[in-house]
Amino acid sequence: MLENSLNARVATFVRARPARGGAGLRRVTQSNIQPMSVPQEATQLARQLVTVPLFKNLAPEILGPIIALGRLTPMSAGTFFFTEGDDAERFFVLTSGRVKLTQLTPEGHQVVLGHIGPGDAFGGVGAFGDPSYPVSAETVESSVALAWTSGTMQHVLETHPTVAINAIRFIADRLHDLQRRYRQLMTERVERRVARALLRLVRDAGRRVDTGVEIDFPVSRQDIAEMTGTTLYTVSRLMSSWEERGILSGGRQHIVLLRAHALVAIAEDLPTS
Amino acid sequence: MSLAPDMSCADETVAALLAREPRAARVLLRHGLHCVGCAIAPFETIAEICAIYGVSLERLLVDLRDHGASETRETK
Repeated sequence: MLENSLNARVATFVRARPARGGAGLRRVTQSNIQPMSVPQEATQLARQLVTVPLFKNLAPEILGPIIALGRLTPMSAGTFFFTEGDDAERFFVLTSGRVKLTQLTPEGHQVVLGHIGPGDAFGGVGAFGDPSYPVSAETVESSVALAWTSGTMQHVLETHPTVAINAIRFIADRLHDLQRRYRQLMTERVERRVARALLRLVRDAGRRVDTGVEIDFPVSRQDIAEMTGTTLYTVSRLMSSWEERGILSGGRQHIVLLRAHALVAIAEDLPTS
Repeated sequence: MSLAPDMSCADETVAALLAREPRAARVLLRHGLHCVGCAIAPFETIAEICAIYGVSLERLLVDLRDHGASETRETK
């Protein structure tokens, strides 16, 4: 596996670095950075990194010098490669471990936007000219990344179109992923809005019947669409799916909540029992 | 020796119970029942929500009694 071979390779490389300043112990530099200045070692590492998406289709002879411009950055678990708002000075490719990308909401809640695994690039905004990181990158386990300065990576992108194309492909993949998640989020939000609207109607005009709780006045799907700022089509689709699940029955403008608690769970985003 | 729980309020709606005895809110919460402010509280009885959420009706009624939340309600 990539991860294992890469781990072994990186581990050897880190250990093989001579200690500086004597005393036998490797002195930890300011930000724990290992310079990659041995071309032969870099070429060796390059052989492993050809499988990294960003370096796909690059010959090891070309990749070697690019790798040599980077620095190996080992980090222990629960530490940050960078935090949201920091100057976007460096670009990373994770060689081992796992990193989560997070943002803080204005209320101070952490939102996890995604996870980075071995071979993935992160912190790339600087190479494309953004001044600061839009996210924080926190290690979930002890991790090692190859880091280049944003300026170096910008130069690499300019001189090696293959890397640039790989970067575009990588960004396109991320965009597809985000589009998929965005769509999920949108449909989820509409579902909650419609569930809440029905519960509002029940609160105002609910009537207990044998089978459940009835909304005691005629409500059309169009009415609900207008209450929730969505389309008739969306409301119809949702209500049909809820009917199939036995949550409600919706005859002609006549809605009965059969399993009102299931609707509360949807409206409040509770785990369904 | 414990007294038998007041079974008479098992068929009371949750909203009626809360209106009559606000202290019941804490008892319900302790049993994992988040009925306070719920839109369907006026339509479900205490016995029904116990059945839906798998809570022991008897234990809930004992707790309600112990917290003075189950005095026999006035007839409407």
